[in-house]
Amino acid sequence: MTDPLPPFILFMAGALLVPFVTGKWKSFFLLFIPVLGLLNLLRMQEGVYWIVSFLDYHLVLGRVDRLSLLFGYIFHIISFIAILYALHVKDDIQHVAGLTYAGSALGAIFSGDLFSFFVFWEMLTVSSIFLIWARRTEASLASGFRYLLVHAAGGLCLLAGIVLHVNQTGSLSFDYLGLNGPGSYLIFLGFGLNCAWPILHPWLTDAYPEATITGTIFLSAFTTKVAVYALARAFPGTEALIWIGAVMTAFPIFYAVIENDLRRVLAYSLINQVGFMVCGIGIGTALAINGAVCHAFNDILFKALLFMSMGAVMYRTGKINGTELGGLYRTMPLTCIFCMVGAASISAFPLFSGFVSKSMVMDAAAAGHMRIIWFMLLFASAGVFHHAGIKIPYFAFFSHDSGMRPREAPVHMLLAMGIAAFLSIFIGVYPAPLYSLLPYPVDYVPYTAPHVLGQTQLLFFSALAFTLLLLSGIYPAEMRCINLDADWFYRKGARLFYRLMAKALNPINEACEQLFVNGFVRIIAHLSKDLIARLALIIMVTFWITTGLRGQRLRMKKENLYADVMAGACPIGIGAGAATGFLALVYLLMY
Amino acid sequence: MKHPSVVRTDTGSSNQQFSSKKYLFDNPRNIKILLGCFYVSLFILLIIEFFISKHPHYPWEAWPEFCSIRLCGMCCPGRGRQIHPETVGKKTRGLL
Repeated sequence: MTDPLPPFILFMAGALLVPFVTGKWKSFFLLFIPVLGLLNLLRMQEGVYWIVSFLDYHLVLGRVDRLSLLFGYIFHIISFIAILYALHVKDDIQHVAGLTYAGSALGAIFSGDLFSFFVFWEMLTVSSIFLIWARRTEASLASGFRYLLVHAAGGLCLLAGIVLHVNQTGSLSFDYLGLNGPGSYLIFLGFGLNCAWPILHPWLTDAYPEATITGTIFLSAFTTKVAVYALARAFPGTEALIWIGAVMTAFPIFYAVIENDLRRVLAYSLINQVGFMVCGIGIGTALAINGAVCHAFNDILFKALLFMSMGAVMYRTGKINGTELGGLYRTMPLTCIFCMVGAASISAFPLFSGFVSKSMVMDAAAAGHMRIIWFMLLFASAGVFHHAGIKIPYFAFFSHDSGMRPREAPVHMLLAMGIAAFLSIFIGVYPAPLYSLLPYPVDYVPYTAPHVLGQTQLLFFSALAFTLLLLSGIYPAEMRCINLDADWFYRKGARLFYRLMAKALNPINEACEQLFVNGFVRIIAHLSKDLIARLALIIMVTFWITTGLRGQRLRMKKENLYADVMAGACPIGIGAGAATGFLALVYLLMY
Repeated sequence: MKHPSVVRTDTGSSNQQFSSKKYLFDNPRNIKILLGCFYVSLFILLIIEFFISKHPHYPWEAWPEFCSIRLCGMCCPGRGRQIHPETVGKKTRGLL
């Protein structure tokens, strides 16, 4: 029996072979890759594998422990679901990009050193861009370029941090780093950008809704979750993360409520859910880390389920704005049911997956006596039910009758949604198998009477608030506009920066132009024009005067010599003499 | 009553046709039943709290109906920021 292969190899090799597989075998081939990958992963034991020597360092391509294994499992599962969902896609670019993207994510989470982690991290960016550009619209092209620029900046930040860290510590090992120097701060910031921290987040809400229908499923699963993994690996217990995470859970709610594009609403809710994970990592206790990782596992499933249901709606109707949809439960009942399962899971309804993981982070905050954080998380729990739990299914499938009667989603899409929905319910009902995979031993019971009652009350009365607001007609309306969000700071701030720089730098620029372009350079140009001729005149006139040459004859010889040198027609002897003199001068200067 | 509807295919083409089929929530009575069940559930949730012993992390969690009534007000983010009843409110009012 052969040894297991590095998990990313199968996906990368599969991506390379995709264009060469045609016909009915293509679907089997695409689905076979994650299945084979998962079988390969199941054979792996904890330890360190595939060590490669590079310069004076050892690169570890396979550091397998409980944390990386858990992410490895879910990345394989979601790859299978996303590929199944995308079987109708004939565009090879999307399949290749999707597999490369998944492979890069696997490479990153199993990397045991910072260098190979950085390589896979950058591959994540490059491969994911094609999932955005593959939609081939003007908006997706522009959005992809913005995504590229932001992630290139984040990548450079990470690289600079790694270089400084290695210089400081001499170690490439990707383990606990903590905030203990400029290098670690840059790495922290690099991770934070991919994690969509507040102010750094507009790339996510800008790019994800512009990606292809199937591309968004991949995008929702990998980039932010690899960043969550990286934070859990390198910065657990970092206090700053508690507040960053808490802000992440709260602020997207306000934008999601007024957003019209339902996939953008989900992008905001993605930030909200990642906030719970970041907060848990910041708290840093065993319960909090378990909660963060467990929630990452669940979030990948129910967020993909929600994106898939909205993708199916978009696929059938060509529309995704809440104001243009409505009443689709009539002809898309299964998609509607799957969407509601996703909505119940993200809202942490009892018996759905979110319930068994989100509460771990909240309990960890409460156990740490973090009152404000706990209250912010509670607010976020109610808020996410509002925008993702109610708004998404309500405006897409119920609400007013849009008049559209599209067909139900294709079978393969329904199957993909069905698997994700089944797993969301299964984990919610029976969380023990997932708990057994978590990094630390789990001593947590989610199903206690007060917990179930409190959470149900919170959600039901949130629904009551929604109903009352809607009935009274004062629910914040969706508008056909673009929410600038934190982009406002970049757009306004960039203009302000431009003006300040113009005022500060333009006078310096003009002074330099006067001094160097109009002054110094002109003198140099003037001298360069006839410097050699004048030097020749100084030497030769001195020589001629010593030989007794005077008057008209001296003037004629001076004019002839000047004209000859300027025309480049001076005798060879003079040229040779000048060259010899120059070499002699250089020799004297050197010695 | 017949009303115009649009049938769209995945290729993006659409055509108008008339559909007289009635669906679950086309009947206002079904919506009323649903809302009735919802209100009853809320009432049960309010009552049941008095029969379950709580294990609060904070003192305020022990207050009666903390999670229900008190947190209900938190669920109106952005209320009053952008109110355009002509777009959503009126359309949905008919349904509910």
